[in-house]
Amino acid sequence: MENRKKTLRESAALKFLAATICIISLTVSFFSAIFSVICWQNNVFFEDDHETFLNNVIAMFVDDRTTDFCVEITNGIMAGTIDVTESDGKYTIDRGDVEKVFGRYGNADNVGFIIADAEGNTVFSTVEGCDLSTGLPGFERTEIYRDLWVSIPTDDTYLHKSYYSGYSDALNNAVSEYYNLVWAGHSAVSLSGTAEYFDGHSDYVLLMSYDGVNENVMPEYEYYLEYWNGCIDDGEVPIPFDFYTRGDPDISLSQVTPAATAAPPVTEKLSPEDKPQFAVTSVTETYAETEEERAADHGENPPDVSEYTSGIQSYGMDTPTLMVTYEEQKSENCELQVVAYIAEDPDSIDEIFYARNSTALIAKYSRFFPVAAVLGVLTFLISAFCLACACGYRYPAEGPKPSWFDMIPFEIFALFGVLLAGLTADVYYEGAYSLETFANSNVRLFTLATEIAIPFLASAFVTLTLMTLSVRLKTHTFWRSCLCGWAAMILRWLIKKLFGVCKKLIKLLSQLKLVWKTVLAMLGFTFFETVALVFARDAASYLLVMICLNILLSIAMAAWALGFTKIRDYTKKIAGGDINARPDREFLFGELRGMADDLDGVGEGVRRAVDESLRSERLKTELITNVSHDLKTPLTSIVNYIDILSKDEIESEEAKEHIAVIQRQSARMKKLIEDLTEVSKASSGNITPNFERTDVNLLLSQSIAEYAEKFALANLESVVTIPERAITASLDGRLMWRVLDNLLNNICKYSQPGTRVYISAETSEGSDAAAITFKNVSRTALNISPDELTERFVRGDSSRNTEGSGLGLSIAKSLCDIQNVGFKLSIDGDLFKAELKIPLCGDAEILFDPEPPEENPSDGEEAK
Amino acid sequence: MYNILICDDERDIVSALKIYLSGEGYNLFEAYNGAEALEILRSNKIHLVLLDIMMPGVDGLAALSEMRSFTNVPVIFLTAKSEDVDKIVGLNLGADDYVTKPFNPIELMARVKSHIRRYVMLGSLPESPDVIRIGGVELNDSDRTVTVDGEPVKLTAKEYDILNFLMSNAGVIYSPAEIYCRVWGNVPVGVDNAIAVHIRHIREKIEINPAEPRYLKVVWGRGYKFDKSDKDD
Repeated sequence: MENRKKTLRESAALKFLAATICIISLTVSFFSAIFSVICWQNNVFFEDDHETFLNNVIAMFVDDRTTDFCVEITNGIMAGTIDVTESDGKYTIDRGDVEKVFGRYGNADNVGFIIADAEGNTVFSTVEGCDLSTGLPGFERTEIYRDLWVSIPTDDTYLHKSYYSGYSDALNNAVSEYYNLVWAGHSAVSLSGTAEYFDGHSDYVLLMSYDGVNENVMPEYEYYLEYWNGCIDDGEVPIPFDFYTRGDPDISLSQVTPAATAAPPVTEKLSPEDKPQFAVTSVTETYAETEEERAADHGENPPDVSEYTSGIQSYGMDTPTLMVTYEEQKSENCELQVVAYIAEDPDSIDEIFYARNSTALIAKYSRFFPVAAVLGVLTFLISAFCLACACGYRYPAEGPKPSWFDMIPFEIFALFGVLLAGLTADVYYEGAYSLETFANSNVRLFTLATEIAIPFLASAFVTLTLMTLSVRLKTHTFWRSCLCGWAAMILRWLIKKLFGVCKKLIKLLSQLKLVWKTVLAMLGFTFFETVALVFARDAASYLLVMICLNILLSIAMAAWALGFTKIRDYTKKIAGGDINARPDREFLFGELRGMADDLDGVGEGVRRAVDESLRSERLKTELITNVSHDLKTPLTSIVNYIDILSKDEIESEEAKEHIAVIQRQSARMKKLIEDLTEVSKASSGNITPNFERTDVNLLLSQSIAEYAEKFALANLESVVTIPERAITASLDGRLMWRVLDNLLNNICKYSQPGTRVYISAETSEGSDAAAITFKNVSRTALNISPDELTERFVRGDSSRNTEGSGLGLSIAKSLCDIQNVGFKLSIDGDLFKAELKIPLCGDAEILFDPEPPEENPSDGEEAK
Repeated sequence: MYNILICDDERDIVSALKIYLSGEGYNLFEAYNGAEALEILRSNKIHLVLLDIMMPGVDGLAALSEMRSFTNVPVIFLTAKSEDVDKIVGLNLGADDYVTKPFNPIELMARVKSHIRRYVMLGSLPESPDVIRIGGVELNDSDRTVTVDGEPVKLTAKEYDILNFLMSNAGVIYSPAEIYCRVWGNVPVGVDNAIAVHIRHIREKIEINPAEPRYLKVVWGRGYKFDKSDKDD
């Protein structure tokens, strides 16, 4: 730390210097800019504004002349004469002509009006408290002297008349009396107008409002004179100034003499003898018709103002100088010439001169100001750049470090900036940098202080802001130091929390049971429904909300139904035996998906179980086949050699007998092995029946024919009943033959010799099954249940000494099962009964191939 | 003197067969697997082969398909494999007969004799329009005689008529009623059983093993037919 050299940018003095240069250069450039603008405005002032200013003053005066002088305006700025003639105790205003306006306005006390009578005697003059700030009643000051024209677009035009104490009593009385009458006659309730501005926009102005019926409301000092306004019909907007100066006979003052007033009740009340009369006669103004004549009148020579200045000598205007001549010719016979003067007196306190003089001074250096402004800005930019680079570095620490100042929320700077900008703008627009301010001695000191302080403050602020901003940007603490940044961080945190809560909620919801989910959903639906019902403004919006809700509900229900249908299809397939079917999981959500998964699990289990059992069945069958094969080979040798032995010449009878026993038993073994193979195949489903249309009657008779001789040998008589009616069934003839073979063989073996065997086939009309019944009398007592008989290796006689495997009935039953034939055994004492129930097929119902199949698959035809 | 090749891996069975067949006067060759059998067949004039299927090395099926490429000597499978599938495979490969173990020696002798006779007699007799020959059964309509493998068979008149009818329409299944109609010439009245008994009698006379008929077959539930196939079990 110690060995580090202090760098330039860590020098506080340099930074201070840079900051100072910043502030000063910015302030200087600001002022330079202001002065540049003022210089530009200066020209305008002399060329245009000054004239306008005077014009307005004159216009105001002329306007006021038509309304007579009001209290306030007489405190005003104008001086002039109005001829008022008095004859027979009556005053007649012959001529209202402003000859001179000496001017200053505002709070000037050296401006006044002089109203002189025909003899030139001053009727009225004033120098008192000229204050235009209050203006005419109903008019704002600024409006008066800047932009206002007044128009009164109602049928009845009221002009403002004010009582003025400076009038002679007779005049005041006459005027007020007259106005009273007019006012009463017209019962005006309000006075309003539209202020039209130069820039084209207009405002509605309510000037006065009175209750015309209640006399008490009448203002003490204000009276109204009605001008009948004929211009309205033309759509023109009459303005008082225009009325007068246009000299339109229809709207001249003469029209409102009492005799001409269109208010008969009022007129009749008037008594000329009793009351002082006030007559307004037509204003006749005669002016030079042409420019030349006017020039001849006034010429290049200024009018002799001394004529008028005699009265105002006392006001300190010794040598008034003509500044502006205002002339306006409106019509041939009505021309008003107003001449306005501004006394040119350097020592005068007329602020107009001050303004002009001071701006003139500024104007002298007008070329310098823009250059200074640009230079100031450049200086500011350079020093600000240096400052921005350097600030943030302080000696002991390495790298830029924010100070406490840089931790202040940036919004405060922004706020201050806005405030300062607003203040500057306000001060500027309030005229702090305007000519008027310069011209006003009363406010000069304060103004100057403000003028300097505000730009200085603003510059200092800008510099400070720049410094801290650069530090913040350099140390990447801008957002952190911003309230906005804090707010954003807090908002982010809140949103994160909210997401967490939502997630938890969703998790919680998903763990709910379906019932509760459904209940919740229905409650939600009802809630929205209720809300819609309560808050819907009308039936249409309620209907709309309900339709939307119902559409949502329908979509949800349809989605659920779709899922349910899919699962139903799947379960149908599984139930139909298609164990390899898989559920369609597309568009399945939530509980239904879970259900589909579970069902698939069940299906998987079934598939596995079926596979397992199939495999084990196949293994079992294979085992039996192999075993029987392996048994057959040695058996073959046994059978053959016994046979050979039996053919040998053997003397011993005993030996012959033994050989016969072996022969018999080996034959039996052979049969046993064959039957075993057969029964295992039949019961394990390894035999596929080959169904075809079979004549059951024929099958039975064929079978019996095969056994005819065996029956005879066994000393049995067969009683066969075969119906006339054909019995057609869908059977595998070869398998069926084996069934009958086994049964008939059984009968031959186990029947009591000399008995009858009843074999019958029968079917009833309309029945869908035929029955083949075998009945025989058992040779031995059958103390066994019919079910046991069909079990493997069980025989009716327990001795087992006869030929047979005991598998016959079992094979028969298995083969019947394969062909959907019912196999039923019953025992009634010695009566053994076997019954086959064969399902019949209709004529149209042929289960399998129409081609006659081979009765034996090992037929030679297969070889071809 | 006919030469018979016995091929079986079970020497005891071969010995027993030798005893039976030499008793009949045949000249015997022995083989204990397919390869030996093929070797003998190639080097000797053999009139009949008795072939086991399950043998070490070249088994019976492979041996048969090999020997069928150079000879059409009658081959009788003699095997413990009694499955239908095995029979079909064996016969399709070109075996002439299929006898399952344990076999009946008498039946086997009859079959051997039948096949040899047929093999050596084939085409030797002049054809006559009155003679119907299917397999080993020969029906001569001109003198109403029937021989099986050259041996005359005594049939009753009705039996001859039925056999004649069925042989003339070999391969077609006829129900008893149809047979009656065609043979007797009138409509049957409850004669099913009579026809069935006649058929059984014929079978007993012309078949080696009536329980497993080779020519006159029962189509259960449909009727009877005379199989026109030459090869049969």
